[in-house]
Amino acid sequence: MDRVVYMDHASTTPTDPEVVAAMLPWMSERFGNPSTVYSLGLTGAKAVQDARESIAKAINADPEEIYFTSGGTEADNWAILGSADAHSRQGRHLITSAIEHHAVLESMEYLAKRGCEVTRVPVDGGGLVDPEEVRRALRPDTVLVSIMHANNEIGTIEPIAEIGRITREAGVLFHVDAVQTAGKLPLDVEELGVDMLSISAHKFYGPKGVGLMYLRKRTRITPLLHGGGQERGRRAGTTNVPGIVGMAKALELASVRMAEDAIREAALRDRLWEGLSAGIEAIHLNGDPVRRLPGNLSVRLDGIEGESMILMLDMEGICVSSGSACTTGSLEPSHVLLALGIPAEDAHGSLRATLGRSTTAEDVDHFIKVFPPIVDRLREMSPIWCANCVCKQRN
Amino acid sequence: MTTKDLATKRLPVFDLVRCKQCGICAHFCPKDCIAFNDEGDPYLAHPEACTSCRMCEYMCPDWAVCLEAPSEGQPDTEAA
Amino acid sequence: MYSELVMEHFRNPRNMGVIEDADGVGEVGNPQCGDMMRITIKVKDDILEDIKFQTLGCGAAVATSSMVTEMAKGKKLDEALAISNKAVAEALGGLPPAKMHCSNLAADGLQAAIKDYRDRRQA
Repeated sequence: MDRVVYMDHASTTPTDPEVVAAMLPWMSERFGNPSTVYSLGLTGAKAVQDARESIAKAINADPEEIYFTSGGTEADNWAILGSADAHSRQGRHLITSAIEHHAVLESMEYLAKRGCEVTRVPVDGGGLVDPEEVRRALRPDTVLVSIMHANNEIGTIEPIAEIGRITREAGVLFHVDAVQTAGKLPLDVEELGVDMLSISAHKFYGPKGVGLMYLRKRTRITPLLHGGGQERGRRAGTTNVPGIVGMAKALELASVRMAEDAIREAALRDRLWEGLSAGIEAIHLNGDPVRRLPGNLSVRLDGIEGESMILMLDMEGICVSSGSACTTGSLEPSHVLLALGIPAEDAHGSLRATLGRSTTAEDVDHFIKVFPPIVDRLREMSPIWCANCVCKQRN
Repeated sequence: MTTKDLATKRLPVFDLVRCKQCGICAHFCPKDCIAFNDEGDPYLAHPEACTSCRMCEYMCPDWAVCLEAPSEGQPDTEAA
Repeated sequence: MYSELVMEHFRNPRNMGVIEDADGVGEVGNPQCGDMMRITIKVKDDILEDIKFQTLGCGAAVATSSMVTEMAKGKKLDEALAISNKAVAEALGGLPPAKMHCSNLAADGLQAAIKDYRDRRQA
């Protein structure tokens, strides 16, 4: 099999050719800076406004509530640092979950070092946040709750609308990292009850380097980037016209095919899980078995390590990721898996396949065929896997 | 599953005005609780099998499904 | 990320396995760190007659295990003891800086196996 089987869509996605085509004129003949007064720039301003309107409509927001950023990380940083700063006189307590993306956790950690108190609500064994835990964590001095819509590692979908009702009742700001759900699950800022949302284009077949923050009107926030007054004086930086046009196009395309993509990917994902669990022993699902993103299959295997699995799958043309320490670049495996209560030695044997538009049944069948011999080989090499003894039957 | 359990647990409620009859709610229901009548409208055919997982609520593109606690005499923990 | 030589040792590791009636066993690392190695040796006339490894770990861990056994096999024990982590990494054509700690296990495992052999002879 010569083609590359890409199964790491949660990490990034290829830019859709229609999106690339929509972007190109804004990089070539219509390259002008939209902040100018001559017509070469003004056409860019109009394109950005159109993009703002179409994105706003997709999430049931007003165009003035959309702020373009350099991506999801910037949106997360701005939402958290900016709102904490703007509300610091009301309080310095923040609530988040144990399984947030690093952009959220590190922003929270940065504030914790500067005198804020951060409560990280735990998750259950499937990665679910209990809204009652959030309610219990609320204090009179809480200014922000930040919970992700769906987790990137294990795919678990969180009960955002329920949490939104709680925060609304308490009068506390609610930020949702929707980086993994924009373009994949329906998003409606009213139905979900959110005040801020982070979105990143390259997760839904848009270009890298662009994203947005939704900020509910009349929400006070301190800017992160100071400078030329773009984005209504709240987020400086020359407007990334091609990126923004591309992102709007990608979201438009994704919205149209969202349901069909979800059904298709879930079916392929289930096929992959059935095939792998039938052909391999001591393999376990990570995350909630039902409440998960359609294309996400996160598993762990006893007795072997994640990066070595990735390298061997790469030799067969398959691209996946892992939560092992060697792949996180630290000495600790994925904080998400640890937060589920998975012991570190098991977390190192994790593998994540995230399917996407290009994934076919042949791709899935190829994976099912080549993975068991890889597992056997690595288990043969492993000092902690004994093929003959009963101790390997762990749950 | 007692009658009391059934009377207190959160079950999907369908907003037929918003619903465009796409069927995705039934597709993602892990317990096959949702069925469609002759007009194509969804309804909860097997409330006893519902686990309140909310997948129907999460996946509906038109926000036409919401899980609600029954209103007859049961305290609702959520604000109205 | 990895050199061709590292990948070659990863794909076709040398001396993988277990010596059943080993003269010395060295175990380093632990599953909690995601890196663990077990080295078994057979010694005759103070020479490392045979050596095998088992490894739980990333590409660098497997490759350095393989390389250290290749470097040590047939050597006198004291020569084998002198093989350093740096030497193993160099023999592989270098490792990415983030992966250097994985290479520590290889030489440590060999040294542990030789120490075990000598401790047993003492006892």
